[in-house]
Amino acid sequence: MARITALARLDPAALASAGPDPLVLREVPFTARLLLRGDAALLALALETVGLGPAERVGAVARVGERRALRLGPDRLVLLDRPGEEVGLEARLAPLVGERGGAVADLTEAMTTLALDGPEPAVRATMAEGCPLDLHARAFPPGRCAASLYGKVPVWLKAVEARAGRLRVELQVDRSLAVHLARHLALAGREFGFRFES
Amino acid sequence: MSFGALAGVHRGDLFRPIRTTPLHAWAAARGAVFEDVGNWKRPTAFPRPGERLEAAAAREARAVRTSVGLADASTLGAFDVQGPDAATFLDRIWTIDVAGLPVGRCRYGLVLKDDGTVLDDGVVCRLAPNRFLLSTTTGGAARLHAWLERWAQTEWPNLRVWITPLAEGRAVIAVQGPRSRLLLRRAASGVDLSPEAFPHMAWRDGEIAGVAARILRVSFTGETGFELQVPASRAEEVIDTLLRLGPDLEPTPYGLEAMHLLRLEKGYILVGHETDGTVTPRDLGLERLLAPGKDFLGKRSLDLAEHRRPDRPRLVGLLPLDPTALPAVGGQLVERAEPGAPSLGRVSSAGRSPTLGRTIALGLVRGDRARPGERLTVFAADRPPVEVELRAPCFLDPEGARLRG
Repeated sequence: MARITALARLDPAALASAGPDPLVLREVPFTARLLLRGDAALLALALETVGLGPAERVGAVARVGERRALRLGPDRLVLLDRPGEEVGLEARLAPLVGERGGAVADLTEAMTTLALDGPEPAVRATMAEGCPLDLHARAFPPGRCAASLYGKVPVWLKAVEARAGRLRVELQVDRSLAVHLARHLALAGREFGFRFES
Repeated sequence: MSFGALAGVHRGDLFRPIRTTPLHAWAAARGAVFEDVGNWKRPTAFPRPGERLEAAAAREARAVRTSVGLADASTLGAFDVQGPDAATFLDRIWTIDVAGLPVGRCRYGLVLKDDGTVLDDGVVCRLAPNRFLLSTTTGGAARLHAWLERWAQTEWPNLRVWITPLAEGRAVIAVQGPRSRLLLRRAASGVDLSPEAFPHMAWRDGEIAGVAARILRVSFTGETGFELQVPASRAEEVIDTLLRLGPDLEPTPYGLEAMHLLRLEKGYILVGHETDGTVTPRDLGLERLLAPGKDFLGKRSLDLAEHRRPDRPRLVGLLPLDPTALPAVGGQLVERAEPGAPSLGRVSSAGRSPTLGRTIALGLVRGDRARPGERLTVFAADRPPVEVELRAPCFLDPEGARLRG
């Protein structure tokens, strides 16, 4: 039987609004997602262990292919990867974490990924509506991440790519709060047109 | 300035986040009536067409006592606690002996505030020497998380311990009742469910309906019972399989109302009902949960003169003399129902026990009046007074034989 996603029962019609080049929200379910806790030295070693470059400053992102690491705080790092990779990644990190007194927790099922795509000004304006951070391109360029809020919901966000005037923001959100977040984004983005694709 | 300017978009659907569990749609499809618990929606009961809520809850509770019931307990708080000092940390927070807990076992205990009053309760499972799983109350989960982080980050930063909330990732299916093992055996693999191999207050990993599950042998009903922790995305198929495998056992979905009746029959406390921020473990008669020979938050305060007063409230069972009269929760316990009568305590929980066929209640009564056999009156505005007799706060199977079956 198929796994049931966080937004499986959300009706796309309820979120839709018309526009010439609408924003598109998609759920990217079951992204492999591990939360790593520990001191800076441990986190640096962990990145090396899974074949990623450094992400020393809070807000930095390290990436190779689908595997990416978001430095969300001085003592926390989240690893994201293709669905299913969480098992192997956790097994590789467990000895290091055990040795160095850190922690690794599998949040694959605890959260889901929502990706908001569209013309860059529309995406930034929609994000700014609910998020208190400075999301101007100067302050939050592609390749940056942050732990913040959108409206009343905690989110981890990452600006992914800007090409030909378009931007994608990925949001990691708790499973039970994903519907609320999707509804809020749809309302915030309705002036640009909005589509939810399940 | 208008209220609209303050509320912004947080109106209607967006007024506040409504959190639903991985089994919400499953429960709704079975006719569940929901209630709010914090931001969560939880099933109150699963009434059949034409069945009243109270009758549904009684039917569900009876099914758990006589056969097997299934409940969605996914909203319970869950925390992963890891690190070389995890045992030391939890030993200071929980009233029970955590450091001495063997891997594979769980233990129920309390968390006290520094003033010695109960903050929350829950089960601690030892997953590995340096790794624990906490299962806590639904309503207290955010408060407990803040409490754990405060002590870890600001009071004991020298302890190497990391706390991760995990409730979102798993669904919890409570399988409770004398036939719970029989039902689980049909769906389980890779785990020995016999009482010898899997005693009360232990946990094991296995598979249920082909889905990886962490199984806790715990009970909030007083019956032999298990809690299945399965990945959120596969919870529906697990519970559907359990229902399909056991038509002869009549597995019955049960809601919060039945759960309250079951725990009331056993006298199990519910944080927020039997506790109100002023109640100590001694008031609740839970001295057995205070591990001797170790220190924990709130321990010293338990010896304050205030907490040692003989007239501190004491948890008691209340049996109405008229077995159909239901005492009002929040009602005052008085000598005689007359204006100005001094309060000797309050009713904390009450219900119609389907097992005993009568009304029962729990209450907190002045310790110097909390004698078995004492008769008091429950007084509540606009309700007829109810005469009750005091007794020990457990109405069913005080030896716990059903629990260990």
